[in-house]
Amino acid sequence: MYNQLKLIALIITLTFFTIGCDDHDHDHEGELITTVTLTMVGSNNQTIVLTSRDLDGDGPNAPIVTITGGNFLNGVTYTGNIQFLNELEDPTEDITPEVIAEGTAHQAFYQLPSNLGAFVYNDADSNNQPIGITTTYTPTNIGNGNLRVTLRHFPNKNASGVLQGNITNAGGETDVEVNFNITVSPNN
Amino acid sequence: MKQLLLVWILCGLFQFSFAQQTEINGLVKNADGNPLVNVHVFAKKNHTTTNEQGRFVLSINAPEKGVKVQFSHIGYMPKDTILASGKHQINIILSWKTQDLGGITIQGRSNKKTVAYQNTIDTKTLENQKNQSLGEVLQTVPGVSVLKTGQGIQKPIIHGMFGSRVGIYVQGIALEDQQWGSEHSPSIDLNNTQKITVIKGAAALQYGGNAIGGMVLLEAMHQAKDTTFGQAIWFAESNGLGGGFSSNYHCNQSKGWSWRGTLGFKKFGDRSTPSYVLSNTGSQSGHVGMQGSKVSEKKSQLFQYHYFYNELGILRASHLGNVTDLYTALQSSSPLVVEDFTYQIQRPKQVIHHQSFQFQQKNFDENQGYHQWIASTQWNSRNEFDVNRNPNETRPALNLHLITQNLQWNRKQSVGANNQLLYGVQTLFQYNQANSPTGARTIIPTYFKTEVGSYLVGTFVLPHFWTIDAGLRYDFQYVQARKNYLKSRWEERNYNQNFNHFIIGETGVQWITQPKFTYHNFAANIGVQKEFPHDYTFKALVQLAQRSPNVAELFSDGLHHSNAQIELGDLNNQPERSVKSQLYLQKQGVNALWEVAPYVQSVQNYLFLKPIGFESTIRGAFPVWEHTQTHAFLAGVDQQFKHQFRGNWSIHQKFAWIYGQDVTNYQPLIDLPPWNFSLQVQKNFTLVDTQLTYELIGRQNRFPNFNFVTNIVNANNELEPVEIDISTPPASYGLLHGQISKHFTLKSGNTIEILATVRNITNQRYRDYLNRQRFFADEMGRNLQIQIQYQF
Repeated sequence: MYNQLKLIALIITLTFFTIGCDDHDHDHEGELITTVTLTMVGSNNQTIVLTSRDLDGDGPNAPIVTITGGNFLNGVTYTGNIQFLNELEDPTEDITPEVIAEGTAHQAFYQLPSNLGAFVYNDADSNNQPIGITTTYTPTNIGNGNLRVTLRHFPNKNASGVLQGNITNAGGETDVEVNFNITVSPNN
Repeated sequence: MKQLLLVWILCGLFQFSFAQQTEINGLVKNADGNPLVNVHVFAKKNHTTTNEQGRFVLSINAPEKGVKVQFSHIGYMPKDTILASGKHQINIILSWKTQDLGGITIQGRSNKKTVAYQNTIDTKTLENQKNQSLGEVLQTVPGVSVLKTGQGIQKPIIHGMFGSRVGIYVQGIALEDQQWGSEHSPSIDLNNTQKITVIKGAAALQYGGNAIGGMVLLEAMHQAKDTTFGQAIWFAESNGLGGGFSSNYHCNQSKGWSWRGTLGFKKFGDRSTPSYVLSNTGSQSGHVGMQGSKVSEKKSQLFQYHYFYNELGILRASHLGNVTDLYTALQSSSPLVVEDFTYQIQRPKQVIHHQSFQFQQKNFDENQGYHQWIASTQWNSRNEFDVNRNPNETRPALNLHLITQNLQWNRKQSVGANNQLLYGVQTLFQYNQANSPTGARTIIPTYFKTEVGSYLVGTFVLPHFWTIDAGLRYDFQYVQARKNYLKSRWEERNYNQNFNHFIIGETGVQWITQPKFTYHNFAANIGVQKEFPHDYTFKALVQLAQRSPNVAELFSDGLHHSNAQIELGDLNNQPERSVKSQLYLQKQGVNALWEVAPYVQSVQNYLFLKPIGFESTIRGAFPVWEHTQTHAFLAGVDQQFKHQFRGNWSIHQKFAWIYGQDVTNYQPLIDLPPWNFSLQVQKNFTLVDTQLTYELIGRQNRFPNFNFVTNIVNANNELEPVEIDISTPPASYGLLHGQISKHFTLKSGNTIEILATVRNITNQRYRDYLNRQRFFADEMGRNLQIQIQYQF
């Protein structure tokens, strides 16, 4: 009986030794993107900034979308630059360089009703295929529509249409999917 | 339990022939030559026990061709002998049982011992399926189905219930391996299992009170031969181009010591459907175990250690980023990622280590009773690897360490000649440490849990072949978690109304909380059994049981990539309260067995996942599923029929049907098995034994409509609302399986059995309603399995 008690004591001790490991809290969420900022600089020096910010990540609050700098102007060529941030880190973590560094495993897509024109890729990864961080966009019509910006990881860049920015056959997994309601006004 | 089996066989031998008076006088001794008192002597429906001198007298009406007389005593190997009619004077020597150590057995002395509605998977069936998963093997029992996540993750469903509602007990101790999630399969290797018993309903309260669905009891190898022996199994499969090896070695030494070692390994590459490769469904697993025991007349002791390792690829195409990905996957008739066959296991995958250590001691007393002490420790480590944005990531997204400590005292006591009581006190301490090395939000928090349970179970054998089983159990449970909640989530859940006292600090956008809950759960059951002439048995059982919400049902809070859904627990969830009634009618003749078992069950506060809306995040939209409660009603019937014909033919037919309704919301319950039927025909030829099985699985026509609408971007790049159908069950299907086996006995007395099995002979394409991956891919196609078993 004494031996058994010793054994039981040993088991309990071992258990609590193992339990006594570190128990740190997780204040940050890895890989989290809270903010997408698309900056469009026009040939007329107009700067439009489209932002989608979701500070509670997978939490219940919807992202807050803001567009500053006015409407797009028909016929003006805009140079786009997109930025992915984690604003919950202090200081804010810019994830864009990581996306560019792993460029072959990422691609951003810009979907816009076809009458408003299309985004054209203006950058390349190490395989000379687009990542979609910098783009150009020239509105071809006045009107209103939804711009959906999607960042995928592990897309199949060689699938039909993907290099041209068509997401249909891209596959992969979505990191970011934001919508902006944009308006193209006449260029007077 | 072995005795139970023998008695079961014995009652099958009950035959219709002319009976004559037979009188047996005898003396029973142990191997040391000492007379044994209170040995149970049993023949047909008569029984007696030996007196102080080890003597007995038994008079019976024996059939002409003889009667089997059986002798049993706790701590000794049962023995039987066949005597012709007439007067006999016999001497019997019982040898010590080298092992009968696992579990907590309660046995009445009627010839069918327990009233609980249970089915046993015997050694023979198990031998042929040792390389299968527990879930697959359990499907041979009517009323048991399997909840799958692909081929690798399989959890038993008993009478429509799974997860925390089904307890899996190894040698009497509940297997603790994060059983709350549907994508967590039990950490078990069947190599060390000799017998599996499925109890439908919370009938065996000595094991636990919260298994309101049912219990699966696994018993370790049990061999009484006083020799060294072992077994080696090699197997290979065509689907997945894999196979493995498992072996066990057993040695009995003098003075009651015996040792046992088990070792196993298996590896598979990607599995395939009839038309494509299921990419990233490879797996590898290993198992090693050691067991030592010592049995003497007075007591038995057992130590055992097991280590189980499993690395499991998850179908690549089932890992999703958001609802748009889900929509795209559902639109496609085959998975979006199909690559060439490989043995490589990539992300997403799971890596699981499970270790268990157990010590048991049983002290037998004179009246076939015992005191039993059990101490057991289980350590489970679970690593889940997601597909990350960073292709160079090697760390898991989730890492859970679960440590469980059980301490038990169980007492079995005889009361009067025929009645037995079993009672005890059981404690559990559990600690779960949740980490995310990649910094993702862990769905399950770090927590500590304590349980103390006490039970009393009695079996009373009454005159006229009545038996009553009754039990009571109380469990105290305390759980304390440590979890960071997003402040926005805390408010959205309305936790600021009742639970602000759990907040112990804050960090940025999150509250640091320490929720604490205490539960008091009661369980009670009663069962009556009546045996009628001509081998009919009738049982009626009523079971009341409570189950506390598990940690997932309380604390879940995060994104499930496998279904692209946000899953939320609720701190307000209350324990489930279940009432289940079962009837059971059986006829077990010499060559035939049939049984029918209808049941109804009502569960208050039934916990299930229900979609409650949508949440938009920067990653896109996700449906939100909440662990919510309702009043559920279930009813069903299990049926089986076996018949042995002349000329070595036999058939085994089974059928199960279940109905489940969410009474509060007037809709069917989700994930209930559809009706299923199977017919197995066996024919033993002189050269080989053959077997053909046909399974027919119906379509589940009763399902809740949980479809939802989301906005996708259409071909014109415009937003368009589309319905996402995640509710409609797949069509019914039929499967054909065949098996040929050949048994050799070598000169040395060792045996070899060669077994060739073809699963899904017709290469049928189908999808299974109970497979979480049915949205993405078909089930496995044809699979040829070869198994060679060497017994030495």
